[in-house]
Order: sequence, then structure tokens, then C-alpha cells
Amino acid sequence: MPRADAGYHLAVSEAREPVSTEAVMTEVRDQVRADLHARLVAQGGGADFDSRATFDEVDRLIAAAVAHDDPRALLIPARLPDPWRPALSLDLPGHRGGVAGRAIHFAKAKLVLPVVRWLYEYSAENFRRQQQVNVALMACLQAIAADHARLKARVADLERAGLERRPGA
Amino acid sequence: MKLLFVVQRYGADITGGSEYHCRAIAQRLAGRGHEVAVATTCAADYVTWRNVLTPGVSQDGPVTVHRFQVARERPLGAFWTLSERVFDGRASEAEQQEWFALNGPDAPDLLGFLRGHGRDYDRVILFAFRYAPSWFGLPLVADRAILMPTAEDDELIRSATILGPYFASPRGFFFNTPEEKAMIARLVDRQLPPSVTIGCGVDPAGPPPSRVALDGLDIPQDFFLYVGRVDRNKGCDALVRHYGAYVDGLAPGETALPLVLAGPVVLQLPQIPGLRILGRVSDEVRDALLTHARALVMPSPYESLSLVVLEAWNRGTPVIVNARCDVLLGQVRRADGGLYYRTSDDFAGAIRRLAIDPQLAAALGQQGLAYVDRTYRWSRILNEIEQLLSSLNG
Repeated sequence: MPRADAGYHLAVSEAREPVSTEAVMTEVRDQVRADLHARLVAQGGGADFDSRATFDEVDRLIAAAVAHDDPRALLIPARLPDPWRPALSLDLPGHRGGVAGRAIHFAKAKLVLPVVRWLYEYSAENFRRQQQVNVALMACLQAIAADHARLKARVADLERAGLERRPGA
Repeated sequence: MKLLFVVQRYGADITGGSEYHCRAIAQRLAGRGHEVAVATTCAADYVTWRNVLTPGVSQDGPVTVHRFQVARERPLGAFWTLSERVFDGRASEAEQQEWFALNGPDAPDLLGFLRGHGRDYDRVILFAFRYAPSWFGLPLVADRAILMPTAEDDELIRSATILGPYFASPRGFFFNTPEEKAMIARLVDRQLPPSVTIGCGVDPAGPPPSRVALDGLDIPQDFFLYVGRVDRNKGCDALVRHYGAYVDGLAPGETALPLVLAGPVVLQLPQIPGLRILGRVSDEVRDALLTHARALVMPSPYESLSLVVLEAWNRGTPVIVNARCDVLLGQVRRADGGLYYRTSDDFAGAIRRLAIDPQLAAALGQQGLAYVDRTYRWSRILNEIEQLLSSLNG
């Protein structure tokens, strides 16, 4: 591949037809999915993913669910008792008022907290990751439940149609 | 027209997306015969807002600059604590207002100037809604305000509940991208005020720089590139993890193209074969890197535009972006100027594809350049800005 200092990109692209990002990404994703499927089967996931079509369908559902990771769009958080998230912020509540309460709060915030700051930040980061996993799982569950509801409705429709077609019904 | 720009920091030496953007537009509108002034602070550092620049009135070429002192530096401890509450969605409306005050820069004299003199200007253009001058300044001049939010789909946008009325109040908007416009429209419960989606202009690139500047740095012939602050907030920790996974997953006999990181490093980086860390680089080296890279990688999950992506396209270099950022994904799809990824596997797939197919990379880069040519040249952007400014009567 000739690569001149000045005009590399111009030189090699002149003869090429327009390229669609989405078309290339479809090829890339297909290859990634094929590799992933082979890896999972090699590591013992063959029982669930014996057919590539099953794997593709499951992967599509999970990928779409994980991409919608905004908890405001999820039903499960709305049904959970609050607070449901891992607490990321560090409140320093106190039941004492007056001078003693303020002194204890000052000691916690200015003396104790800086000493254990590294521990707090380590924990907060792990809580953040856990929250991401929680939201992703909620999104997956919601997607599966929505699919289930649609299938139930479809089965009910088919049963009704079958009854109506039955002679004498 | 008589125009006033409001921005948290201002100056030729100030780095920062919205600050650069504000100055670029202000200077160019002044060059087109408008009477342009800027109201800003004495801060140069966006973390502390410490006063370092001289207060008062000065000239920046044709632009008059009114610079006001910051009353208090950002109280970082209280700000971080409150940020967690706001981003968790647990903050009251009063606490959310307090978040904007703590975020700063707290410049009461700037707000006083807007209150006293804002109506001396035909239009007041406020940049970056998250900072106090725009947040508290907009209501003072709402009847003539144009807001350039520079909003990202981040925790603040997702969690704060007081944004709707604010975004409904200006006379008009300048947006960076269609994704930003759609995001703000979702927060406003009525029709959005008039707007134009302009982004930031890019001048046509000069003759491509040679590789000489890179040879001295021992940069290999082919490489992937990241340019910018090497920071967790920019997604660089994930980028390095993904790159490590790509290197680990190479087939026997397959060689990884190196990943060059160019920018100040504020992140502890692991040792990975092929990872080349340059630190801060000169403009000359930066331009050469952008010209000769196989592709620019932009891992940031939060961007309202990403100027460096436009700069890469301007040099005919394709990009690989984090698709978790709607703006970057939208830009790449509109331009057909590169590839994108969501997961580590996708990243390896995209990077491997461009590593083995330089012609594909070049074609995508050229399409990126064509997109910049038709969308991000200053003449088109300034025409659209002037059209909106003059269409708002009164």
C-alpha cells in the first residue's frame, strides 16, 4: 500500500465507491457475534446456544435492553420501595443538635472523612458498577416481560380465532 | 446588531470546548460588523475558578471584554457531596439550585452587569447552561436571550427536575447537534423556542503536514490515535481496557496497530504492548498525528459536539466513537465517517476492521471530510446565526 506523506487519504480513496457506516458495522457486528457465539459454545454455553439463530435472538434482546439504561424508563424501579439504589453519596447525619452536634459533624467531615477517603472512593466506585449492573438487569427483565406479555396476547388471539373457526362455535 | 456573549471563562489561552466556541463565534461576528461584547470572569481554571485575570474592561481584537471577579472559589467538598445527591435524583429543587450556585463561577458583579446593562444589547448569547453565569443570568435577560446549552446526556440532565422551565425561557437556541436539540426538547413541555443547529465551524485544513514531526517521536507508520485529556471522564480508562482486550485477543500472526494517546494524562495507565503515551504535544505534532493516524478513537460517553472529531475529518481521517454517546453516534452515521462500538468486543471488531483495511479507512475519512465541508464551514454557520438573530423581533 503506497502511503505518500501528503496525500495518503486522498490517494487511496479516489477509486472507491461511497461506503455506508451502517453496512460496515453490520459486517463488524456479524463477525463479533460469530466469534462470541463460538467462544460461549467452547466454554460450555452450548446447551443454551446450540443454534446460532437462538443465540442471535437472545443477543439482540439483551443488547437492546442494555442500551436503554435510563432507570426513568424502567418499571421495576417504580415498583421497588425507595430507596432502591445503592447510596453513592456520603451523608453525615446526626441526631444531636446545638454545639455538640456541630462539633461532631465537623470532626466527621474534616478529620475522619479525609483519613478514610480512599476507602470511601473505592466503595463508591464499586457501588457505581453494581448500580450499572442492576439497571442493566432490570432493563433485560423488562424486555423479557414485555416480550412475554406480547406472546400471551398473541396466544390468546390465536386461541380465540381457533374457537371461532371450530364448527358450531 | 449589538451583541453580548456570556461565558464562564474567556481568552485566547483558555482551553475548553464552550469557551473556545464562544470566542470563535464572537470574533467572527465582530468581523462581520456587529458590535460585540463579552461578559465573563477573572477565572482561568475551571475546577477552582480562582481569580487570575485582571478585572475590568479590555479589548480582544474587535471584541470588548467585561471581566468580573469570582466571589468565592468552588467549594469542592460541598460540591461533590451535593453532586452525588443531585445525580442520584435525591436532591430537592432548592438543593438543585444550590448545585448550580456551587458549580459556579460565582460572579455576582457579572449578574449585576446583566441586570443593569443587559437591555443595552439587542441579543444576549449565553453559553453552557450548567455554569452559574448562564443558569442565573438567563432569567435576567430572557426577553433577548439566545442559549447555547452545550448539554450532554449526562447525570445532571437525567436527574435534575428543574431544567424544563429554564430551557423554555430563552428567545432562541443555538444547538451543537440534532441530538442535543432533541434532548432539550424532551425536557420542555411546550414547543421549543426558535433554534438553529450550528455546531462549531472548522476552517479548511492547509496542506497536509509531513511525518517529520512524528519521526522524532518514534511514532510508527500506522497507528490509532486518541487526542485530548487522558481522563476517566473522557472514557479513557475504558479505552485502554478495550485496547488491552484487542491486543490479548489477536490471532496468531496478527499484529496490533499501536494506540497513541496525545494529551495531558490524569489517569494511571497500565503497561500494554502497543500503547504509546505522548503526554501534551505541540500543535504541529497534534496536526501531524491527526493527519497520519489510521483512525481517531473518541471514547467519551459525554460529548455535546467533539471538535477533535471534526478536526480529524477535516484531515480526511476516519473516527471510531463510543456509541453510548448519542451525539457521536449521530455524527458518525450522518457523515458515514467511521465506525462505532458499545462493548469491548465491538471495539476490537471495529479497530481490527480498519487495521486490516486501510482503503476502507481512507474512504470513511474522505466521507467525513465531505461532511465537514457541507456542514461545518464558518460561512454557513455564521449565516445561520445571523438569520436567527435577526428573525427574533423585538
